[in-house]
Amino acid sequence: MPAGHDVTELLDDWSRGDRDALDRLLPLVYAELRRIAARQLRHERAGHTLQPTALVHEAYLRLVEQRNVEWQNRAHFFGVAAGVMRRILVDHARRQTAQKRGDGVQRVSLEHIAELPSANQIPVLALDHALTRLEKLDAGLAQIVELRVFGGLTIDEAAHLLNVSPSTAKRDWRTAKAWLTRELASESQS
Amino acid sequence: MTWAPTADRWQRVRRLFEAAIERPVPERSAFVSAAVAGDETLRGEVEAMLAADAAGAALSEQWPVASESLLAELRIAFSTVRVGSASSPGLTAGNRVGNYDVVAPLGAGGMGEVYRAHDARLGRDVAIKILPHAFTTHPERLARFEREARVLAALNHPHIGGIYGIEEAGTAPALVLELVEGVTLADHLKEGRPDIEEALTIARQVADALSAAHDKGIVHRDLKPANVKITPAGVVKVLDFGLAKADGDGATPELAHSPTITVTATRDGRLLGTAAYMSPEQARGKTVDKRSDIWAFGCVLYETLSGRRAFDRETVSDTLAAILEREPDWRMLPPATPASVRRLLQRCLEKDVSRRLRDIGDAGLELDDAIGRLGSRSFPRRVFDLGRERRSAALAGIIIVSTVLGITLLWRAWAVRPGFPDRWQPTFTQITSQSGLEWFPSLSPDGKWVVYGGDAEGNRDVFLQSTTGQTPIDLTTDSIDDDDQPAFSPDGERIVFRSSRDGGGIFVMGRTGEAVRRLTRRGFKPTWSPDGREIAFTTENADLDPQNTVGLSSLWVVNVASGEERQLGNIDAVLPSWSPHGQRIAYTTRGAIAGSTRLDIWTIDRSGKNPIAVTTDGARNWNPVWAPDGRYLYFVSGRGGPINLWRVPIDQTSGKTEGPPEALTTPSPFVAHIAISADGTRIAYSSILRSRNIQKLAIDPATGIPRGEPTWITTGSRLWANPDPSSDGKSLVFYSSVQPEGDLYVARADGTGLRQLTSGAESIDRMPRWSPDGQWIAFHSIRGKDQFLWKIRADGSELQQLSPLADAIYPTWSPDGSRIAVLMGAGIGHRENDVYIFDPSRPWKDQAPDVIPPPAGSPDEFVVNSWSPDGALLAGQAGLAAHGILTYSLRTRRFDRLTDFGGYPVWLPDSRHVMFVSGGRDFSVVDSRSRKVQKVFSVERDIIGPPQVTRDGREAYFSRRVTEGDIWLLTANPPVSR
Repeated sequence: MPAGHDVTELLDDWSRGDRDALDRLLPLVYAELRRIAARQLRHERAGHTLQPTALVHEAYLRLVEQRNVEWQNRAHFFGVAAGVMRRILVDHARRQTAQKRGDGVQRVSLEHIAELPSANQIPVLALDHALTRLEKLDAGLAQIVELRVFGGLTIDEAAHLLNVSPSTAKRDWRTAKAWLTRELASESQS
Repeated sequence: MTWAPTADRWQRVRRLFEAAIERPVPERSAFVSAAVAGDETLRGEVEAMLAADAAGAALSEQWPVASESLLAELRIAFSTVRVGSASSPGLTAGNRVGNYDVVAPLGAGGMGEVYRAHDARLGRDVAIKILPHAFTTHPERLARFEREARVLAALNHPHIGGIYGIEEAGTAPALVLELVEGVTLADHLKEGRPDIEEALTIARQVADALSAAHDKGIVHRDLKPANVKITPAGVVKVLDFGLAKADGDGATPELAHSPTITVTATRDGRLLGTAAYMSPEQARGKTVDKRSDIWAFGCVLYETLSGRRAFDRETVSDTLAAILEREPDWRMLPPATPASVRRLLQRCLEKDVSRRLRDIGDAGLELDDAIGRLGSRSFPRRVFDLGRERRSAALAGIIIVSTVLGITLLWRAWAVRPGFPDRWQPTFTQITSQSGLEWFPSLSPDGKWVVYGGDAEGNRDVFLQSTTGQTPIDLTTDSIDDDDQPAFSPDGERIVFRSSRDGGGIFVMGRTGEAVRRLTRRGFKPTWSPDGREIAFTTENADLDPQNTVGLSSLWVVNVASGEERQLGNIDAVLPSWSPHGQRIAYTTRGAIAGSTRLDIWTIDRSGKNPIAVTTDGARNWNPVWAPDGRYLYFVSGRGGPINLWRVPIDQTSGKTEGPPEALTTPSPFVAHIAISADGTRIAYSSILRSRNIQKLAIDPATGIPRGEPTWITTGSRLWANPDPSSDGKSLVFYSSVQPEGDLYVARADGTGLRQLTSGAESIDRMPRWSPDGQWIAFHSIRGKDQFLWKIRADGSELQQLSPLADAIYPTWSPDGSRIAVLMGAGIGHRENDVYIFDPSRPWKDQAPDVIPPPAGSPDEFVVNSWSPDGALLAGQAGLAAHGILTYSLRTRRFDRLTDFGGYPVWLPDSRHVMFVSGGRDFSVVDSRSRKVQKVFSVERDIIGPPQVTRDGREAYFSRRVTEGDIWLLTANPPVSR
């Protein structure tokens, strides 16, 4: 295979049906996102987490602003980025959890704990687990969740990417949300 | 319990759920009951889904926030990553391509695989290059490439690698090229730096090749040492012309323009490659033309002379950031580099494409002259011995001053001339000279008066002054609150301003300060509509460094008579300005990213519709102000270096720009807050001067309370910081953040005897800390993308790296000098955020560091900063952002939180009291036993850095940043904008 592709070319190839393009694209986007994320996250306070959709949007804007990437490529890009974002966030969450378990040192009494994440945020790991289960049960639903939640796609974009009608995508999204809500609720009770 | 239905079961639940939600809520239960036909489990499952549906409507909205600086980097990363892969060659020996027999692979370059092949007919070897995939999928690209190849083939230039033809290799097109024997310039440079004459001779031939190609309208697009070959006979040949993404003719701006970085995926997924020769406009993804080649030529010339890349960092994104923001380290050029060549380099490596050398032919002539002047003087072929290296480094240090001067003068000479058309005959007059910061001037319509915000009276007040006089009148002298950002009404009778009085807001008063009345309860930077009936303002403030730190700043308009407010659009806006015919408001929009310095100018219709960008390059464009005739928008911009005055022609009705921005360069190093008189002949602005110098404060060793006022140890514009006194109190070490940032300096404690301790553009050395015996200085140094721990002797010898682990910061010596405590950040090879204590006199492999994990249960790591004189305690701050003071007992191995604010604590001699800085304004002392905090020193408007205290506790040293601003008046004749 000749060397020297860029992201848009690969997206282009992919959108025209070249599945290999995705295989080539994904690890590279992933590596770069991950490297950047790792570097930034180390300076994050624990109370903050990434906003994945903003991140992906920004990355995409960079492509779109300057390059007139066609509309369907937008969805494709987000499709790729959604999966990447999910992995980055999960890895990060895992590391943080491991770290918290890892130190056996006496806690300092701190009033600042109040700054920890607010209760209504969905833990990344729990969502990831639930999504993994949904993937086994109903891959299509899991896909739309990943696109919406981690990639920030609109219903219409997700519909386009999944090759379904917007009304179908909307219904699927609603069903998936209900399933996840149920799943996450039952998990937190167990 | 999680619910684990079978796939069939789930599909049933799903169908029922989806059918149910189509129905009105009250009917759903009945529907489900009927549909499940007695299957109560199924009914329960569907009901659970319906309940979850009702409860979980906000699922996707619950996503967390923050970390947006990351986005800035992503921008660069995504625009530039080119993906290649370490793939196996597609051809092997014995394959035929056209009439050529493949002999062996020559290696895979970024642009495709290359093979040696034999041409049996002509009995010669050729190189065959398989073209990148891009060419096969874009016929128009291929066609253009073929066209260029034909032109080049016809050119037959001695310094351009020949092109023999194009063949098909399987499905991919292949180029048949002259096989140039010899080494590439890249490899040649690896052997050592050529002498100046050789370097110039090589560059001369490269310029020649470029010149010939440019004359035929062909741009190389990917010039770099690896594409320059030197034959055994010493002839230079430039290879791979036009190969880099030969794409459309500019009519279709596509991704293909920019990336000339070749990135190879390695097994561990890391991206390798170099963007080092990309021009700033390429890095920004803009169209490439021959001036990008000129930039690349500058990079090649710099590298050939200095042996180092002009812009090189460990990662692609860091390299690109350097290209966009940094100057090359001119000190790396050999001292004997002729001044004309230095100038040439600067002109080639001018970031603003419009100021860059226009014609590579000029470079050729310049080099000819330089080579001629070098004449028969001989240079040592290579500098092998270290002593010589050292001497030249010292020499380089000496000439830095003259080089810097050279740049400044050149820049001036260059900028001022094209900046102001001759007919302008601009004069510049400084009209305020109070101490402190005078800014936000506004001119009365007749141009005779100026109002501005100033802080000469202690707090910020609005001052009125004649533009020809020197005596300011304080219009808000009665107010103890801050009054600022005044603006004359269009009829000159009233002044609107921002005040922090009574909770803050926008206020209006008569032009001599009478009849103050409140207009709004919030807002900043008010600007009048031309009819004087309305005032636009923004919800957040911006003064000198508009940055997005608090989120959106929205744009509002208030009716002056009724006080009614309305929001314009849903935009981020600061520093608004109303157009003269009233239809549009110009404003500055900040990067969407917190902390981003990306700034652009937009305009929006007064109805709040139709926001349009005026600038899109993010080059710190801010503070737009309309010319009185509405034909230009003036603004300040950091494009091309210091923040200076620019303007862009614009249609005030549509907001569309009508040409490129042009520079109107003033003599000020930093221009802010423009105001234009109604007749357009005068522009007032604030000229900002920033400095940071070291101060000494005599203190009581027991309490930290000052004994007298601080005194200045350094002066000038070098932006000194991080001072650390030696334990005998006789010397100081500190660093300078003037670009290139991060060299350490040593001086006597009174600031005399200044000498440079470390140098190098590739490293940023910070936080120097003197060892207790006064022999060593430990510091952390950013080299590449990570920070490492180093030490050096105070006399500048024996520079050595203390630890191979990345991200070791804040070295803190034990009082006996036998140990160093250091925070290990997120680097590779160690756990994040532990503090290591190790023996700096032993090699790293022999270390068994004592590891202190970060405080449990706290979101912040322990940033160690000071070791108590009795050796028992460490003091540090919570988190890099300084969320309070912590101590750590080495005996009990426990943390103790002393305060919930402040950072950078240092122990006083009693090992009990700790002095620290908070908010950049206060020094406080906390008793580590009682936790009682006492503020001991404050500054009003400056910013003070972390203190370091001498061993006897009698003196504290710290940096103090001062911002001064004076109002200047630019008078132009004939008028500025007619």
